Amino acid sequence: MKGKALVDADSERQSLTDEASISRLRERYPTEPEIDRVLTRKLRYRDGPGYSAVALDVVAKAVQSLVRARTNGPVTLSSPRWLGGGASKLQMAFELEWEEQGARQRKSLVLRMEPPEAIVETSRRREFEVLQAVEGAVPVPVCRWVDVAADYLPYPGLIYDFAQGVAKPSARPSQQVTGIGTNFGPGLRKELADQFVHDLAVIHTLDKARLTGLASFEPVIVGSNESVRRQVNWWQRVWQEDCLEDVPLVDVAARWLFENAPPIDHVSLVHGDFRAGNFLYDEESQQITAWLDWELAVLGDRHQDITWTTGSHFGHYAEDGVTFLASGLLPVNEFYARYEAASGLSVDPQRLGYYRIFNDFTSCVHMLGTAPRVARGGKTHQDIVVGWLAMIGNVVAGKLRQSLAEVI
Amino acid sequence: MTPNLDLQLQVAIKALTDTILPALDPSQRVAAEQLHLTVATLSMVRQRLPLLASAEWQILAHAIELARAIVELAPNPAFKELIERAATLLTEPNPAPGAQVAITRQISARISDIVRDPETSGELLRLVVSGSEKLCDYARAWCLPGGFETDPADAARLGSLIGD
Repeated sequence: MKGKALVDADSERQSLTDEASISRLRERYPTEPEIDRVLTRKLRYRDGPGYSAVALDVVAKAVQSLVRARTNGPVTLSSPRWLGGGASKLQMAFELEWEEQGARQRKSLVLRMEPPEAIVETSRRREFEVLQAVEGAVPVPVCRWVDVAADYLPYPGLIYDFAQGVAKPSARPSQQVTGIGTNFGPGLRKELADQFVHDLAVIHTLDKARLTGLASFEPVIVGSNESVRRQVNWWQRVWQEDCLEDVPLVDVAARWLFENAPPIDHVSLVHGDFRAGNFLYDEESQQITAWLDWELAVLGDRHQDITWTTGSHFGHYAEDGVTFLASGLLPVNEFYARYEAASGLSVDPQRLGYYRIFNDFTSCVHMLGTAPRVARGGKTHQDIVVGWLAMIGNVVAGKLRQSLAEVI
Repeated sequence: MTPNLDLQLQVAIKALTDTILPALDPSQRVAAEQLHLTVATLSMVRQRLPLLASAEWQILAHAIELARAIVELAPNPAFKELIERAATLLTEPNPAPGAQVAITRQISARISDIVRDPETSGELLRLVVSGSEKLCDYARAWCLPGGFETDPADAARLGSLIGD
């Protein structure tokens, strides 16, 4: 048999970018309309160029055009600079002066923009809606403008206020990327844990009135598992679209999740990536200043966030070597107890089991499927980060296998 | 005379670490993060390169083992023929570059098709889950330098699979 280089083996994978394949995927895996739009757009652009560095001044001019169009007044942008720290989005910080209702405004802001393809393909429209929904309930940056279709920006993006704070201690920098496994130290840990649990409880019990602005989120019905199955379809579709090689274990997980989806008992806004690394805090006051990365937010079951944040790859063992700290902050059982007290909602062991498998499944989709695909295609501004993170997929696949062995 | 990729990697890592990193403007945090990861990635490649041929062979062997168990439960002549081709490749002393990876992927694709078939029994799904253990462990062992394993005991167990 004639052998081929790995890069050829990767590119042999069917590209699925023709309209017949796209239609087949959309029909086979029905999901929310806005998710469908984003994934379909991804496939239609897939054969296009990879990411090329965009000059700061080009992006700065685009931001000015966007803000001018939204405010109809003079706009002055200064000090544009790239921000690091995340895995999926381009981020530029800048100073802006503009007019709002006759008054001159001046703020430090952040542009959050998609590269051609990201480690997760998500909707800026949904992210914008969620940030507006939670503003004032938990600390989040104030969201100003969104360009869903990249009418002004090089890629779809949104603009929000710059939030002060750090994601990890300056004196104890994490050795890993995106804040994974951050060790806050015993003193800081306790202070942050209180706020961590409190904020999650608030998010999950948001007043229904706040959720009315989530126009691009499909309604979720208590007593039905339809919304859960829609999510499984979402990630099955992403897996089929993105993976460069089949992993049968992932297909087993998808099948089990669809067949065993539990009905929703209480509709919560779910952050979708609630963990250390996705909040900023002030080092002096030890107060959380902003929750970030709401792009995976859904309306659904609180156990999705509860199991995500207690995932093994987001925490670490305490100084005693035996106590595992969820998100590096507090022991898992203590987290459950304090969450129940703060939210008034129960933590159900059966749903924990389901969503543990669900989250490990989606993590495998991200890391074993999408990450190699987008890095191979040169689609992001930080392929080296994405390629490195892809290795987590193998750790998670091991956990997924153990969980499936207990239920199948 | 003989190719020495290890030397090339060694000198590349040294140049990045000793010359380029110190010259980087500290305010360029994105560049610094990517440079650190580049060094880490090249270091991992350097560590794993001698084991690559063995890894491809081992992973194919695991895939064949699972596939054989599946066709014993659910006979399929076309799949059996693929497995036999793979098994023959495993015995070749000098397989073409990428051949083992390519056929491993063909086997995985076939197993995934079986899993997605609604008629497939629970017994077969259980077999896929249990039969994936060796593949999962090997992949985790390979990626240990990434530092994503949180349990030291697990890391030690996995390390023994690959001689770490």
